[in-house]
Amino acid sequence: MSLLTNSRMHPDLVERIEASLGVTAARGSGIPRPTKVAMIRAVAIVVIVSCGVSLVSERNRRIGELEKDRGFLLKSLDLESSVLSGGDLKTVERAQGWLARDSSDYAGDWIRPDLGKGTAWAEMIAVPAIYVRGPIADFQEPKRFELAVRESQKDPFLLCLLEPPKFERESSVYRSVYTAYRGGKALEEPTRNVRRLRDALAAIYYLDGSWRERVVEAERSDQLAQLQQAFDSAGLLRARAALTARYLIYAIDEAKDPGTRTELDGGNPHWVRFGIVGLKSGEPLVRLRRHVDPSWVSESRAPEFSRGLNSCLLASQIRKEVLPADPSPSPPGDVATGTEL
Amino acid sequence: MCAKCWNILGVLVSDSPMPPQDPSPTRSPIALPDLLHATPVRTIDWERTDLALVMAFAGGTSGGLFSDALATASVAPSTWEPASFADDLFVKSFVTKCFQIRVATGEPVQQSNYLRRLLSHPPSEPDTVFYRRAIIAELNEHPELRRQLESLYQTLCRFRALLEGTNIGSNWDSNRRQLDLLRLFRELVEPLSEAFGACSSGLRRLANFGGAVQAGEPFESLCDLLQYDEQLATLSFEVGLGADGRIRRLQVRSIKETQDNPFVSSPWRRWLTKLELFARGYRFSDGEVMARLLDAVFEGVREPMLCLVQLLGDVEFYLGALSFCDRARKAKLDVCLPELVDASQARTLTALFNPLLLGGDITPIPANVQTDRMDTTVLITGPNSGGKTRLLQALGLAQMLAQCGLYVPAQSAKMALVPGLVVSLIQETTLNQSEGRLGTELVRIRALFEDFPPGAMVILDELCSGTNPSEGEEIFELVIRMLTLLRPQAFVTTHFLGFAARLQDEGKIEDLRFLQVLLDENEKATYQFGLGVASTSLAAYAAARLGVTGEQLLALIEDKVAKGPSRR
Repeated sequence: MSLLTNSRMHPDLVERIEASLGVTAARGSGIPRPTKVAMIRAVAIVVIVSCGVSLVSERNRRIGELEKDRGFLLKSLDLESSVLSGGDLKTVERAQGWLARDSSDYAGDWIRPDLGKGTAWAEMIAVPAIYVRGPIADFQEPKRFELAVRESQKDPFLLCLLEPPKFERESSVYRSVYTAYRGGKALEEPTRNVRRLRDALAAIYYLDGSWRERVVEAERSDQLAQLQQAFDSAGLLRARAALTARYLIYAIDEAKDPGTRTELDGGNPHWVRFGIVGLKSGEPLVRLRRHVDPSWVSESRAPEFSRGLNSCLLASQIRKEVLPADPSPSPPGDVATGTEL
Repeated sequence: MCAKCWNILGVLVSDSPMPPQDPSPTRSPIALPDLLHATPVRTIDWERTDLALVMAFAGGTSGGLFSDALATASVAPSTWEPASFADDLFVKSFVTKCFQIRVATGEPVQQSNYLRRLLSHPPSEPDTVFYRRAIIAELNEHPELRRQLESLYQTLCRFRALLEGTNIGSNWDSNRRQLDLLRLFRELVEPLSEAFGACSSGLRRLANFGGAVQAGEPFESLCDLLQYDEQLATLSFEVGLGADGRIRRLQVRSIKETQDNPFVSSPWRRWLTKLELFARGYRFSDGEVMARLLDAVFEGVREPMLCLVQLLGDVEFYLGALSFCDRARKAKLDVCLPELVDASQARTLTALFNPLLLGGDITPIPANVQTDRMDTTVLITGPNSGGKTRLLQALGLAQMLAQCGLYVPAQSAKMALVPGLVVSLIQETTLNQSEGRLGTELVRIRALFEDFPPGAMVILDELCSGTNPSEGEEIFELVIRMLTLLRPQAFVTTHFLGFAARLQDEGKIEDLRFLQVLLDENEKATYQFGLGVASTSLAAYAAARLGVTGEQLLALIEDKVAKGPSRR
């Protein structure tokens, strides 16, 4: 039967029409026939449909995997964000505000009177804090703030503030400086409650809504994989701790004194502003401005360690000012149980 | 390519040939509109032409379908051997000059070779001769019938042109061409019943053919398909004109689809049909749907179409013969259908003329030829250029036409059918002939006696003129004596006047008759013939006419001598 025929047609005509459709050629003639063409078309259609189905299923599978990966990443983000309060997420903003304020006109030295008494200092350094040091110009300029924060490391100043050298002799100070520069456990152990402001900045970068949008908008699995890789390597555990810091410890280097020389490591005579600020309370605990001069450093160490030696000595002297009755640093306390002063 | 083409190609290239399949085994075959044979005969190679027709219809081939089919077509059984007379009688020239058909649109290309074969193979079956005579007589007597046949012929020529692709432009639609072919086929078939229904001769076969074709389902389907192509639906419009004469409103009043046509289907069904064809391996297009329908309809009318190929040759035969009559009448010469009598009866040819002279500078002069019986040997004598050879040609052509059942170049005639014709006119010498003139003629005489059937017609011009008279006369007498034993209808011209007179006087050969060219009072040939033997060949008159008398030659020589030697 064919749609070409109908009941109004003469049976002979119907027969001829159907014969016209059912064309056969001699076996082995090799002549293309409509039936062969039809078979080829059928095979082609099956192949095309199969390919289409495969492509669609493969696409769906990839989309599923993509969504799965995206969900996992978003869930990780949510998990990281869930332990942070709204105030935590403003840590960097607050720190930037303090740094900008203390980089402008100096308000004068200040040490909260009770800081050097009892266990106040020890309790303070037992809770999470963030540290940053940079040139005063970078903190005055918002655009340069992020760069300065990124370049700021745990350094001899921080180490010597928390664990001052036994003596102020160059050799003793040098050991502390060497320990700070060498890094590793010897540096991390005494400064374990202190995170870099850079970590907080990184955490904000990932926990901010824009990065989440990038995750949501990622269309390909390779894009998502890159985001996942960046997320994994961001060290958010460390960053999260930075965001929960209660204190900001900072050192701001003013411009070097005019007409002085500069060592290879950057050491030069200049003023340094030091401060400790309660991020939650918004209260300054310490605010000092001291002059450093690497002229006391021996010539053999001056080219490479002037800045470190000066920083360590400065930190040691500040600590003495804050803790006049405490010749040695107190052992660090429990982070979880620490309370803000 | 159509389905049938694939099938045929499949058969052609198959390792194991498939038996040909009857396209419609349940259908009774259409009666052949054969106008040349008393009993209808398929003269063309049916299978071969069928293949050519299918290919031509599909557009896979062009040109030569009709000519090829007719070139190999068989002719009616004949005892005549064309090699014995066709060249000497200039049959080819006769066909070209006298059988050229003229119709309103001009002079179509004719199948001259087929006509020549038909004329040089007169049917041996008397029924066929009388069958043809009846047809040509009816056509001659009824001009309206002739016009109908000419109209049929013109349509056939258009059909041939379209089928053979001789008028196809560069941009042509295969379906459109096939529809045009089917339309032409309808034009060919439809008038046949009415035009030839009242005929009493074999022309009635045309009416029968037309009626049979029209009564069949295939033709009905063909008409339905053409109507489907021409008038799928009728739309009635109402046009409103503004004051400026421009159309302001155009409203469709009604749309009427031709529902009773079996090829009409709903739009969705047409779309599904295209889909079905695509699934079956065809193209997805409206044209493909039409192509399949055309294929099926053509399949039904294929056999009648094949009949048309043969019919074209038949129609040309009669229209060519009528053209010959027209030319004769235009020259104020009469033609007639001869009375066919027994060979023992008297021969009468009144106002016989040589048709080869029609249309030329020389006006044929009719002559009467009469003998007391047919089966005699007639010696014709007379002066040179007296019309003896022309008479022989006229006699030969008249016999040929009479035996083909056609009009002969005479006002009236009584003739007898003969089983063969041998014509030996004076042959031109050729470079490669191995014998001299006499030798060549003797070889022909030998062949004549080898193949010559008793009672046949023999026409010999100046027998044994290629040797000296004494020897020639001996051979001449021998040939005449032996020839009479075969009781032929023989016509022999000779310049052996004395010898002829002696034979007449002696009367030793019983069946010998004598005709001579009659002269007027000025001793000039009248191109008329009477009983007896001529007394002179009038060679002196001929010599004087051509400047070969003694005085004329002497004057020529003296003139040359007076001018001196040539400075070549």
